[in-house]
Amino acid sequence: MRRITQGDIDQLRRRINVAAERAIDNREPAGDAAPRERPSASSRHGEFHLEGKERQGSLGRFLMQEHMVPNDRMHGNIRVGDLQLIPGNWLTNISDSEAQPIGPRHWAFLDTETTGLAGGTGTCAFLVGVGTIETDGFRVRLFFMRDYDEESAMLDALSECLNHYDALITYNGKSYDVPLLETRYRLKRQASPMGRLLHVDLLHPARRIWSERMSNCRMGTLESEVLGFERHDDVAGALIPHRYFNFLRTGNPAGLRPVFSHNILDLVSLACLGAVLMPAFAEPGETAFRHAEDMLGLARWMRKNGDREDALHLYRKAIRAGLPPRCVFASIWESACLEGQAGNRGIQVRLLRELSRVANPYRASAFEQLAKHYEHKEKDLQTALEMTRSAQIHAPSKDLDHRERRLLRKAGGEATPGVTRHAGTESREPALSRAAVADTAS
Amino acid sequence: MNQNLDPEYPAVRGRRKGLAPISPPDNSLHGMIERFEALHRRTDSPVPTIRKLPAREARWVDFPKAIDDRLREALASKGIETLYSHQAQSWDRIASGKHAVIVTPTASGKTLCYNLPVLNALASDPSACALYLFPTKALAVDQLEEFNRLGAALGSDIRAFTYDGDTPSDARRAIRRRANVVLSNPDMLHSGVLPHHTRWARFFEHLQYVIIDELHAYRGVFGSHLANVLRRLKRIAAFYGSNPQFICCSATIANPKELAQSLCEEQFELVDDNGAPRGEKFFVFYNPPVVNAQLGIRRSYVNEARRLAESFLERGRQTLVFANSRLVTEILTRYLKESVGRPPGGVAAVRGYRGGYLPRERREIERQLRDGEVHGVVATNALELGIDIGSLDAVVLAGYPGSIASTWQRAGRAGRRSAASVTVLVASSAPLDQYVIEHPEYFFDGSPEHAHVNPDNLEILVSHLKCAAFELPIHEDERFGPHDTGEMCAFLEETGVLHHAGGAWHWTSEAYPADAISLRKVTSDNFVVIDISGGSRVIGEVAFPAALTTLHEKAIYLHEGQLFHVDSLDFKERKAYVRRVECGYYTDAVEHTQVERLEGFDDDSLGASLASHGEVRITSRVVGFKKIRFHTNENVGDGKLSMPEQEMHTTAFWLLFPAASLASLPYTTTETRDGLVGLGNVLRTVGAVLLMCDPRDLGVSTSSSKDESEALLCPEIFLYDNFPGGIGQSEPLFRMRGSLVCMARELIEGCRCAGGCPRCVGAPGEVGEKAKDVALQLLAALTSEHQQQEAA
Repeated sequence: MRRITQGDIDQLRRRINVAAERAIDNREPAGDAAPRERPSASSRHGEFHLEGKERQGSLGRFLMQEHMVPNDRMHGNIRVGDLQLIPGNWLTNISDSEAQPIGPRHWAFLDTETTGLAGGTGTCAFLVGVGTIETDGFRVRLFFMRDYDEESAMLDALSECLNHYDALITYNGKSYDVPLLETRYRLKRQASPMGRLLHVDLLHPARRIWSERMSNCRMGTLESEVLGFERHDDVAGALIPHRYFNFLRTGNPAGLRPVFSHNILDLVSLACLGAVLMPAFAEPGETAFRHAEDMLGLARWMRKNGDREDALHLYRKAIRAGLPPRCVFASIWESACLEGQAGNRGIQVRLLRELSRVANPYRASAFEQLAKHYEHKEKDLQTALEMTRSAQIHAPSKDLDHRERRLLRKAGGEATPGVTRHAGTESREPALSRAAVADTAS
Repeated sequence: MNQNLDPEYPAVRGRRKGLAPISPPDNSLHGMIERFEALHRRTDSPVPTIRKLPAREARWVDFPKAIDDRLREALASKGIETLYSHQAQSWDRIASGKHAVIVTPTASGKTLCYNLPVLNALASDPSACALYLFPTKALAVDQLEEFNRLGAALGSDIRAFTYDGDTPSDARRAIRRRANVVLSNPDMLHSGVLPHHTRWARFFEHLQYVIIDELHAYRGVFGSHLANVLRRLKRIAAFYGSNPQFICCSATIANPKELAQSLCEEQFELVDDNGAPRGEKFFVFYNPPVVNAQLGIRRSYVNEARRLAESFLERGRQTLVFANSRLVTEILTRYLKESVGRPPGGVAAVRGYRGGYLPRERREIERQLRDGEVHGVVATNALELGIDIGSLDAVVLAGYPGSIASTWQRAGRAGRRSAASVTVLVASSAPLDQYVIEHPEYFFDGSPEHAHVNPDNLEILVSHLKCAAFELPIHEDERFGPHDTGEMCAFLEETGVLHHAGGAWHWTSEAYPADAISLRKVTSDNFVVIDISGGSRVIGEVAFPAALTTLHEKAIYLHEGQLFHVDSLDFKERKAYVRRVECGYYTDAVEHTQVERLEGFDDDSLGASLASHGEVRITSRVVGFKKIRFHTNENVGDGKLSMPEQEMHTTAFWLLFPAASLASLPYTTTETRDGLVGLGNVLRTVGAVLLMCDPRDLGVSTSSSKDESEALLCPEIFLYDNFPGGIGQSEPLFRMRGSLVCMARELIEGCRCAGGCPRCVGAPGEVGEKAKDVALQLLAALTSEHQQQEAA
């Protein structure tokens, strides 16, 4: 077997350099940036100073920074001190958990900065921020590995820290931060502290509330749209891995300081977002939401959780507050279904009739529901047949054919084919009155 | 009385051919054999050779004592009460902890060789795990059924799953958590499993066996990649404290044990003593008769293959026809469908089978073959791999498959356990086919091809070292395969993807390195074929390179013998819209390929020539197409096309011959050019041996522009890496140029042929009469001066 020699490597180097020179983007030649001698983490950091305390544990050293965001600080429209006032059962409610209420002093907010988004075992969390709610304010601890040989010590300290808390609150942590950290613990053959904690990922409730109104539910978007907080000179997330790699090679922490600030702000925003989401869910009747779409989001969430009364209340409130047209029809349709389930037949029929009058995506379904209502509840086969045929005009289906045949059979000679259809009347009907619909049940 | 077989009496046109119902295997094939034998006795016979491989009795062995009682009972309930001798031998080797490679023909019960130890382990340890690797997804699906059949009989809670690109993402998590047996492919292991090994922690902790079936498929670059993926696999297994045992299965190749050892880097025991029974087997060489002696034109091998297949089908014999291209497969499917029609039951009696049919359709054809619903199938090499289709009575090879191993593999599809079977090789007029027909000993007595891999190809090695670093930091003293990693890691640190800390190298790049490395040439970039005859329906898929030649506008695309006209090709969306037509012709694309030098990395004189290596651009373009009439193969029209040019940058080794060095040779321009082509062929053969790669991994091309006086202008011979970007084969070729030309000379001089043959410069029909002489003259010029230089 031929051995790989220095000559082979030189050959390879030459080929890669030739290819790199021809490459369109004229980046610096790869070789120049690389130090041939390998200074240790501490010696390299000798010439530069990175704020924070070096911690020494049984698994080695790493760097830790602590920050306290005082209670009277306003983060956008949220006062940091108010975080302490959130009742413990609000967190367990929002997480659908049967667990005992956990007070805010036992919550740990967590956010990581990583060496890439590719996932897999080659992606590493070089910075882990943990935010906690304390008497004096919001406390942030940053666990930072100055080089790869500090990862074990950093993870160990993170474990130790999380052991003092009972709930873990993240943003997209279920699919990103937590699996990534669990991978790191496994690679280091250390026990992961994550399994013990009640994990609440606020991304999911945030999507429920804001996906109608926002183009995306990224933390940055919600921060400015919901919390009213604007960042200045924030580092773009895509540049973060590069900044860390650069620090590894040069020891110069200048590029990292904005990354630390970025992580701290993410944690404060995460906590404040919790302070918006938790009360909305816990006391939907009292919601402070001003946007109709947000109310609709909350209404749907209540509906999914089986809280019919709150859901109907929020649907009406949302319609009254002025939803865009696509949401109006959806809201009427969804409330009609809910009213039906609640046994409010009269209101349900009025809502369905509203939907059947103008062109909208739910029109055929409304006719079909009305047909069911007239067939089974009112025993009015003639009207049921009319409704069925109207539904067929808008969305023909085998089910409707079947229904039509059955109705004709049941009606015997009573109904004749080709009676009134409701399809042609749409444009002459007055436009749907929002107030009329919203007031149906009030 | 069937006259069909006799070439002197062409088939009576217009006669409606009957299709006998499929009969159980019996000895009625002997009628056919007798006809072949009668033909064989004639002078100028179209059947120059018939070989009879005698029937063989089964050799049975009792179940080994060590096999778990529950497993023994489970197998007995499936009718397996004794083992073939090779199955027992495999068991012994594996039970004693040895890595084993098993080489037995198709349908000899080779899957039980590996399923037995795996099931036995599971019978006593429900947490045991095994990884099965197959070269294709289809084989994994096929083997899952087989495994589950036995697993179900065992009654325990064994969980076996396929895990590949088709596995839905919601199922993946459950598979990672629960599977005992995972059936996958090297590509998935490389990019989907190893880089996420922490999610597979349980599986790797309990990994006892790694099974690699169809070992012979891992030749050349694909094999070199697999060897490195296995290095990574062993490294990850070791991290979780396991040290799996390897069981490999291969079709007949010259060096199975060597291949297994180079792929897995372990010592293997070879089991190749087949104990399965076999009926009598006949191998018939059939050369279509000459119809025009002056021009040396023979009858079309496609028509002859069709006639022979018809004779078998009319006797109720299940028949498989292999063709060497997709086009010929489709044409034969069409011809046979026309002539045999449908049986009373309504199922198509003859079907086509090739890559590009949708998986569901392929599974259906395989099942119909097994169940006897389909009488004949025309297939490409897609059916050569071990998909279970049962055993058939007859195989017709339309054209020589190109290698000895592949010919035996296809012939192995015919073979009943107790009754006779026949394989007929119908030679085309291509030089290689004619050579094999004229030299039966080349095939019957020659060794099958060697399968070579070169896991230490530096570029492949370094790519996988990156993946390895991504998976786990590489420790300073760690070895990767047999290699120290220090130098390579230092190099990777220079390029910025690794970083040294705490005695190990860590991955410091945002990239996911496995994504950048494809284990095989095929890209996942496919065109879908949409039939818009009535509505729109996806009928197939075509890989990117083939799409350019088969789905251009106005092409006739064939699917199961049905003709479709390509109305439009949406290049951007990768869609071709086709319509059913009946038009009496098919199309054949005309392609031009050119090699252009981009940059030389190094050069040196080699005798009278200049040897170099460096970067080249290979340009190929479909420039037009021909319309060819069915049956008569007349050219009935052509068309020009402006298809996008396909470019490939790669690395090449080349020899440039100054005009003066050729002027002194006593040959015409044409003879010289043929000689250069012949020399190119030899250099490729020798180059593949030196590089330990598959000859198909090296492309060969000669440039030979002429001046006004028709003299050659500094012709060049290129040997290029047949992979985009190159895989580092050219620099070693340049370094070994001395050995390259010496071995080429030895090869030609040592060849006993008169004027060239496929073993050396190529058959005379392909490269002309003088090619051997010219090539030798050129080599003499190259080697003599080279030796002088070395001596000086």
